[in-house]
Amino acid sequence: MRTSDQPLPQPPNDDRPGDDWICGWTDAGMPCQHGPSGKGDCPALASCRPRQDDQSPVGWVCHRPACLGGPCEAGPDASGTCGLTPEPCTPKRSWRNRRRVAASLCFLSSIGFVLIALGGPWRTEAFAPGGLVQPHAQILGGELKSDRCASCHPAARGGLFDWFFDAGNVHAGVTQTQLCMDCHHKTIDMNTARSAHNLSPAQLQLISNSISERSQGLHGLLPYASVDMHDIACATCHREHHGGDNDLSALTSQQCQACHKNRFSSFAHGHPQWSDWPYGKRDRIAFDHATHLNKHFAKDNTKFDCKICHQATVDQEIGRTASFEQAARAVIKKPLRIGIDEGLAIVQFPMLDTQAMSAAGHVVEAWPDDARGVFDGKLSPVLRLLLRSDPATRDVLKRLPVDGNIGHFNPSNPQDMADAKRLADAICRLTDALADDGYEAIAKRLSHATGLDESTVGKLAARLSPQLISAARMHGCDKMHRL
Amino acid sequence: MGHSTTIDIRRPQRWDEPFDPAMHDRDVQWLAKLPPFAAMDREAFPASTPLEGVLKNDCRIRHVQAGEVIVREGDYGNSAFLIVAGSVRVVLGQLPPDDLGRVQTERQGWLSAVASLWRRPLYPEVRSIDQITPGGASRVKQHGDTASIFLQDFDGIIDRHNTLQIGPGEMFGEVSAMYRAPRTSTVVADSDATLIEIRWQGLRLLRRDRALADQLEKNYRTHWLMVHLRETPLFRFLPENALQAVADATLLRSFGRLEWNSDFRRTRQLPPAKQIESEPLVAMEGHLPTDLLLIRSGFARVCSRYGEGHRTLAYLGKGHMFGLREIVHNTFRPPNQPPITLQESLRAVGFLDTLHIPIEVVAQHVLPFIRRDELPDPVLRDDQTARAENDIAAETPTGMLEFIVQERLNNGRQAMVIDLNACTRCDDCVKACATTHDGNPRFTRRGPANDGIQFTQACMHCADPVCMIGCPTGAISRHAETGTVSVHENICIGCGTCAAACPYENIQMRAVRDRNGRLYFDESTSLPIMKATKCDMCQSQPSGPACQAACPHDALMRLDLGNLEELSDWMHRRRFTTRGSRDA
Amino acid sequence: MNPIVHRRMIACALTATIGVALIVLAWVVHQRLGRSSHVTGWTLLTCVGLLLLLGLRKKLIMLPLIPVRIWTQFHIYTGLFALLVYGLHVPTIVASGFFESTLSLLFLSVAGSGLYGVWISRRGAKRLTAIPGEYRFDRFGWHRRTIADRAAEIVTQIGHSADVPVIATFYRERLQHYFSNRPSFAYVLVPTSMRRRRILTELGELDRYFSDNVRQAAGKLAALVRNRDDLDFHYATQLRMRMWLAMHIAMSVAMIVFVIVHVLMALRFQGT
Repeated sequence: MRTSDQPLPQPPNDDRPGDDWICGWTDAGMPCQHGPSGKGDCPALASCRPRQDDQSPVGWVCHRPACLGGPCEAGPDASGTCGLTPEPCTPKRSWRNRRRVAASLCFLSSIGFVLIALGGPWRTEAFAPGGLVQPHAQILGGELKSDRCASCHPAARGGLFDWFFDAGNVHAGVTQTQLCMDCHHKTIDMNTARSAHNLSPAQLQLISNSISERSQGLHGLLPYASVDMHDIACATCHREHHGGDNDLSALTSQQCQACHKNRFSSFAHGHPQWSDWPYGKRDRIAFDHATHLNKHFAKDNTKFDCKICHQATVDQEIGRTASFEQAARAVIKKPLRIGIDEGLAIVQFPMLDTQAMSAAGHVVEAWPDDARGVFDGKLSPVLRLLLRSDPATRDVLKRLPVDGNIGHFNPSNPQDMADAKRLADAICRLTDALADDGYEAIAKRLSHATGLDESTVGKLAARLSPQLISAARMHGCDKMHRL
Repeated sequence: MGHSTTIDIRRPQRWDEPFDPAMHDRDVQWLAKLPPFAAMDREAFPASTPLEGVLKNDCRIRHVQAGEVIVREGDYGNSAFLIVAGSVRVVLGQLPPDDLGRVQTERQGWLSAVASLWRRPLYPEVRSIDQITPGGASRVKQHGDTASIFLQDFDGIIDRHNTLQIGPGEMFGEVSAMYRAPRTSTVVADSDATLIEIRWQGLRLLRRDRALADQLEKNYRTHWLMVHLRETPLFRFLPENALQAVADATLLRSFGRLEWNSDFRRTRQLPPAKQIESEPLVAMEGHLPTDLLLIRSGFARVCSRYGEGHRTLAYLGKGHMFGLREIVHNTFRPPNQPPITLQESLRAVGFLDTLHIPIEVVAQHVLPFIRRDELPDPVLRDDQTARAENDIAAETPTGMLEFIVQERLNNGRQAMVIDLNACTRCDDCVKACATTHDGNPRFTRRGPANDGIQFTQACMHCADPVCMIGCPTGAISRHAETGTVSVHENICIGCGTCAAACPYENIQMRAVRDRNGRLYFDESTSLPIMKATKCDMCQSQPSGPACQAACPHDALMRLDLGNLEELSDWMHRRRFTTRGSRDA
Repeated sequence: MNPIVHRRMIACALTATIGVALIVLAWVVHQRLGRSSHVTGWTLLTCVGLLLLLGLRKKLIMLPLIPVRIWTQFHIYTGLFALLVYGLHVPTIVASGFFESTLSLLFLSVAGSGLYGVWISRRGAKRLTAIPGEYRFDRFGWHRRTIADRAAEIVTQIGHSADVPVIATFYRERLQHYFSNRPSFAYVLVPTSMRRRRILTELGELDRYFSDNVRQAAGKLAALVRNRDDLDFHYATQLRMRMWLAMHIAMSVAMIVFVIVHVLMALRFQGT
C-alpha cells in the first residue's frame, strides 16, 4: 500500500510564522482561531457571541456565522458562554522567537565573557595577543601581572576605560616608543630614538645627498616608506607579540628598500656592489666579527663592545666602521704601525686581498699575515710622499682617491690587482730602504717627492724615533722575510 | 392537477439554483406582462427553457433607493439590469473612489513604512474603527443579508459630472454580463426605482428573441468590437476603413459556461485526457482554416493529437490569436502547392469568447497591413511527424502546461510560483508578507505543485477575477492601471461572496479586533465583524510585493502565467538551461 | 549561457580580482613599513559590516532596496572574500592569546556555518522536494497528531476477530509510541530509513496471522508509517536548515561583540 492511499487532512492555513507565540494546542491538532497575543497570553476567545433566545431551553442560541463554520453542536450554556470557548492554553514560543532568544543569550554571554575577562587581574593574560620575545618576556616576567601590559602600552596605564578610549589622563600623550626608551635609553640616544637608524636629521641629510638617484625599472615603482624618517615608532619595525622566537629586528629586503632609494629585487639578486655603495667600503663583510669575538678579543681578554666601532660619526661611514687604528687598537697593538706616537704614521701595511691578487697572477709573498684580508685601509699622506719617489708607484698613486683609500680595489678588476701588487712591492722596498738606510732613506725620498733640499727634509726625518724604525723592521719586514 | 396559476415546466439542471429563490410565480406573471418580455416571441424559446422559466430562475427584482450605487465602473458582473420603474443615472465620467466609499491606497513613504515595524499590533488582524467603517462621501446600507453603497452627495455628483438618465424599459450592464468585461460606467439610482436583474445565463437564453439579440449585438458591435480590434497589437497599422471592414465581417462566438469557477471545482479532479475531451472544440486540427480566431475573453487550450490522446502545447488568453500561421502560409503559398490544414486544435477551457474573422477578410484587409517580420514562419511540412517534432521542441513541458490548465492557473497574472528545489522552507516570504501587513500574512506557503514548482495559494490577481463578481458593495476592486485586485475593508460587509467565488481559495475571511485584542461585533446582529483578506501585492508599501523581495534563494517569483514565455524563461533559468535547449 | 551560471562566474571573477588586489595592497603596505594589519583589519571589519546588512535588509523588507536574493549572493561572496581577508589578517588561522584565539574561533565558526549553510540550503531543498509531502515547520506537531489519531482510529475500527489482538498488540507495543512521539535526537541528526524498514518488516512478518480485514488495516498502518517517516525526514531536514541559520546568527552576534572589543583595543594598543 502506498502512502498516497492514506489521504490525510490538511492543516489550518492560518500560519503566522512571523509571530513570537503560537497556540499551545497547535500540536494537539486543535489550535484556536484567534491565537495568542504578542506577549504570549492566551485570550481564550470564544468562537461567537451567543444570542439570547427565549425559545431555547438554555435561553441562548449559537450565533456563529457560516463563514466560521455555522452554529456549533455544543451550543452555548445557560450563562451564555459559547460552547466552543477553548480551554486556555500555554502558548509556545515560535521558531522565530526561539531563534531571537538564542541570539540574545549569545549576545549577553559574549558581553559577560568580555567583562569577566576584563574585570580581573588575569586580563593582561587574557587579552595578550601573543607571546613576547625572550628578552622582553624574561624582563616582564618579573613584573606584576597587572603591570605587565602597562610596561609597554600607555593605554594599559590608566583604568579599564583607558583600555578602550583616550580618557585624557596623566598618561595622555605618552607614546609606546617613549616606554621602549625607558629601558633602551642606555643604548639609544633619546634625541634620535625616533629617527631612522637613530641618526640625526643632519646625518640622514648627508646620506641622502650621497645616495644615488632613484632606481629605474619595476622596483623603482614601489612606493616609499609610509613613515616619517624622523618620527618612526619603534613598533614600526620591531613587531612584538609574535612569540618568543620572533626576530624583532628582522626586515625583508623590500622593507629596507622602502627607505633606501637604490632599489634591487633582493639581496641575492640585483643588490648593488658594496664597492659602489655610498659607504664605499667593501664588497663583502670586511670585519670578521666572529673571529674577532672568539679569537682576537678573547685572546686579549678584551670586551667586545659593538659601540666602539658602530658609532655615529659625521663622515659617510655612518655606524658601520671605525678607523683601522681605533678598531684594531685593542688587539693588534703596534706591529703594523710605524710612526710618531703623537704624530704621523710613516709606514702602513694596508689590508690586501692577497688571495685575489694571487688569483689575478700577482703573488705577494712578503706581507704580514695580519694585513691579509680584504682591501682596506688608507695610505697616509706621508707614506704616499715616500712612495711617490718610487717611479714604479707614481701611476698607481695617481689613480688612488684623494684620501689614499684602497678599499675601493675590486678583486675582479685586473688593473686594481696590478696596482695593489705594485703598491705592496713599493711598500716592501720602502721598509727595506728604511731598514738599510734609516734617516737617509727617508730624507732622500722626501726630498725627491717634495723638491726640497735634503737638509730641510732631514730635520723632519730626524724627529723619527730610530727605535720605531728598527722595530718596524724587526716586527714587520723580518717577519715578512721569514714568510 | 392542472391548476391554472401554475406553469408546468421541465426544469433543466441549470435551474437547480435559481437566481432568487424568493421569486414567486406572480412576480413572473407580472414581469411577463412588462416590455420587452411582453413582446417576445414565446415560440422562439424551446420547451426546456421557456421565457417564464428564464424569468423565474434567472431574474430577480431589485428595488433601489435614490443615491444607491447599482454598478461601479471597473466592476466585473454577471448580470444585466432592466429598468422597470423609476430612473437611474449613468455617470459618464470617472467617479473618485472616495465617492464610492473606497479608501484609496496610497503608497507609504520610507519613514512611514519603517515606522510600522514599531507600530505592529500585539494581536492578529487588528483594525481601527476608521479602517472598518465607511468613510468619505458614502455610506453602507444593510438590507437583509446584503448591503449597498449610497452616494451621500448625489446632487453634487450629478452637477459635477456628465450623467445620462435612463428610464423604464432600458437595459444596462448587458455587455459586461455577456462578455465578462469590466463595467464601463457607474450607475446610480436617480430615484427610488425597480430593476430586474438578469444573470448572464438568462440573458443568453433571452437572445432567442431576435429583436433582443439584434439589439444586444448592435450594442456590442457599436461600443465594444471596434475598441477591441483597435487594441489588438497586430492590427495597429490597419486603416480605419479596413478595421471597419474587419469589424463588419467578424462573428462573435461563445463556448463553455461563464461560471467556470464553480464547474472547475468538480472538473479539476478529472484526468487530463478526460478533461480535454470534455472541453468544447473551437477549431479542429487537420481541418482547413476558415477564420482567424481572436480570443476576446476566457481561456483556450491549444493541443494536438498524440497517439490516442491529445497533447497540450500551449494555452491562450485574451488577445491571443489562433490559425494565423496557417492562414499566412496558405495566402502566400505558391499556386501549385495545396493549402495546409490547422496544425493544432483549439478547445475552450471553462468559458471562451472568440471573434472569428473570415480568411478572405484577413487576406484582403489585414495581412497587407502587418509587417512581414511580425508574421509567423511558414509551415515547412504538413504531416503528423512534423507536428510531433514541433511539439517536442516546445519550450514548456507538456505536463506542466496541462497541470496549469487543469488547475486553471493560467488565469493568474501575478501568480506566486516557488521553485521547491531551491526553497529551503524558511518562511521568509510569509514573514515578509506579515511585516508589510501589520503582522498578518496574506498567504500560506501551500498550493498545488508540479515538477518541483509550487503554485502557492496567494491571490493571483487573475485575468478573469471571478471574486469580483457579486460583491454587493464593490469592496473588492481592481486597480485600473496595475490590475491589482484589492479589498476596501471599510465597505467590506464580510459576506464572504468573494472568498466563496475564488476557485483557488485565496481569499480568507477573518474576524477583526481592536488593539487590545477585543473582537468587533456588529451592534445590531451580534455577529463578529468579518473582513475579506487577501494579497494586495503590497501596493501600500514602497517595496512592491515583499514576498518576492524577501526570498533569499531566488526561489519565489510572481509570474504572469498567461504569458507562457515568462514562465518558460523562469523555468529554464531555474533549471540552469537556456531557452531552446531541453533539460537533460 | 544561463543567466545564473553567468552571474556566478562574474561574481567569482570579481571576488578573486578584489582578493588579489587586496593581497598586493597588503604586501605593498607591509613592505613600506606600514601597518598591513590595519589594511586587512579595516577591510575585514568592512566585510563584517557588509555581511550584517543582509539581516538589516531582511528587517526592512518594506523598502525598495535590492531584493534579498541579490543581497544573499552579495553576502555569500563577501563572506568568501572575508575568509580570504581573514587569512591575510591572521596568517596563523587561529590567533594566539586567549581573547584573540576565541575571536578567531568565533570567526571561523561563523564562516564555517555560513559555508555549511550554502551547501545545505541547496542540498536540503532538493532532498525535501524529492521526499513526498509538503510540510510547514509550524505544523509538524499537527501532522504528527493527525497521523497518530488516524492510526488509533484504524486500530479501534477493525472489529472483533481472532487476529485483532495480534495487530492491537503490535500497535500498542511498537506503533503507538512511534506515532505519538517526536523523532529521536539521533534521527534528527542523521535521518535514515532504518527505523521505517524495521517496523515495516516486523509488520510484514505478522502478515500470515492476519485475515483479509486485518491485513487491510495493517496496510493502512504501513502507509501511515511511511507517511510518518517522510514527515520526520522533512522535520529533520527543515530543522537542520533552520538550526544552522540560528547558530550562524547567534555566533555572529557574539563575534560582533568580540570584534568591537578587538578593534578598540587594537587601536589603543598599537605601537606609537
